[in-house]
Amino acid sequence: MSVLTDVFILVLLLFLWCWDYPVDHPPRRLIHWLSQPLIYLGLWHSWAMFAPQPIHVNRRLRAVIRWDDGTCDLWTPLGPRRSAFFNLLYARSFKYECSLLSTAGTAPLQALAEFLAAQAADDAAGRRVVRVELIRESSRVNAPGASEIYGPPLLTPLLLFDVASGRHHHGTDAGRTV
Amino acid sequence: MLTLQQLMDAWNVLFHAEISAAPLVLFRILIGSLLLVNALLLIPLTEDYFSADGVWPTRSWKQQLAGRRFSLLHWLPDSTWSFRILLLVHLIACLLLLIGWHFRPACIMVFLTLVSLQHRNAMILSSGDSLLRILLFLCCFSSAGDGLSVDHWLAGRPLLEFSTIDPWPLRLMQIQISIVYLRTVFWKLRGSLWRNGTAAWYPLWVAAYVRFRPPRRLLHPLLLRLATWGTLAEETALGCGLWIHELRFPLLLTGIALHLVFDLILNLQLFSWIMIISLLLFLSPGEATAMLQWVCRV
Repeated sequence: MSVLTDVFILVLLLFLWCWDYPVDHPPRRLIHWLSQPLIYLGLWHSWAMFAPQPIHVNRRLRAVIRWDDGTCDLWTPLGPRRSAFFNLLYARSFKYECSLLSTAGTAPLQALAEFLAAQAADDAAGRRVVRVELIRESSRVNAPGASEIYGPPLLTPLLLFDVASGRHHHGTDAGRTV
Repeated sequence: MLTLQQLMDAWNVLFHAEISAAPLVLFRILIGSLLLVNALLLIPLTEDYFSADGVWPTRSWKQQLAGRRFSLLHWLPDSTWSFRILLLVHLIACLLLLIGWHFRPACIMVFLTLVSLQHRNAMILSSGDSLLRILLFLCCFSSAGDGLSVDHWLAGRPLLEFSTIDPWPLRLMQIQISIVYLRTVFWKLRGSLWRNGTAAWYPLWVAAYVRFRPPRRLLHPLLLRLATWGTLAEETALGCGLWIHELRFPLLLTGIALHLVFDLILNLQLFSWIMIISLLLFLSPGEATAMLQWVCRV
């Protein structure tokens, strides 16, 4: 039993030490065989906190909901407010927006566009949602000492969801129609 | 030069020399309380982030991750009620862990339900959540219920009597904490903004993260460099120095102070508190016992 425990400790030590290396580094490749079961079990992790660079871009998501009468509504996710309790409560919402705008793949964007279309349809009052456009608004934080805190805002089309056809257009495809 | 025997002796001293369960008991109580708060904070997010027709609907999630990430929700119906029931089970398991009733099954249940909840929407997670999962996984093998617990009380033993235990799960948790600090420095040193001493400036202007921004006159380049490089130095010291007897206590104090400053300036939800509780794993059995006795007296 004690030998088994020691082998278990050794495997865990190897995993804890090697996992957070970049994927092409030898220590990480050494434990490649452990990857799938450990990801499945929820033991995946990353300690690259505010690294290699700290967060230095303000990103906000904008959604434009277009109606069949030619009007449109602008939707933005919950953002930080003055109340510290509110910000504590919804810190994960802010994290969701950051993930969506930086690392998430296309599926979560499609799901969000469909969610917004369904929500808008609930309050339609006789109108019909034609399409939903997701846009990233970002502005870089300038280096300390610069005359302006932020660089110029940048609008990047992320996705266009055509409600009637149910089709999604990503990136530059979405840009052409936004 | 070390002999193989000396190496094995050192291994046995580190991982198997019996110690009091007090540091683990303290950890169980603190992490149990934090897990309860963490679970309660998920309740207002249920409809938007975890429901069958929220921003990440159960159907889309299952299509994307079925079979690749463990979650008890894979075996439950697609309804939002499945999530609510799982969250309730998680809350009950956290409570059992906190009071130390059926400690081991409770700890395993907390781990499984926490992983299930977190895998349901990984876009709202941070490194603190990863650390929680790993520490809980290791805690499942520990004897953190061997003191100040209902199990202990039911066995007719004094509440403040702590068993002596084989400490390998505690040692692995401590090693994990050291790795967190050393590896975060490793990653940070790959970034030019950390190396040139301006990294502390940027998050202060990112609305999603900043909680309190110091006045502009305090954001002098010299102070920014001190904050940036000071963070790197402190994190390196925490990664190595907590294992050195003479440095352990001062480093615990400065480490806790560092995380309190992070929590004051940045809105990282429970991250700083997870790190502070993790640092307390480095308290000696005597210190942990004194702390528990003080809490009981209060």
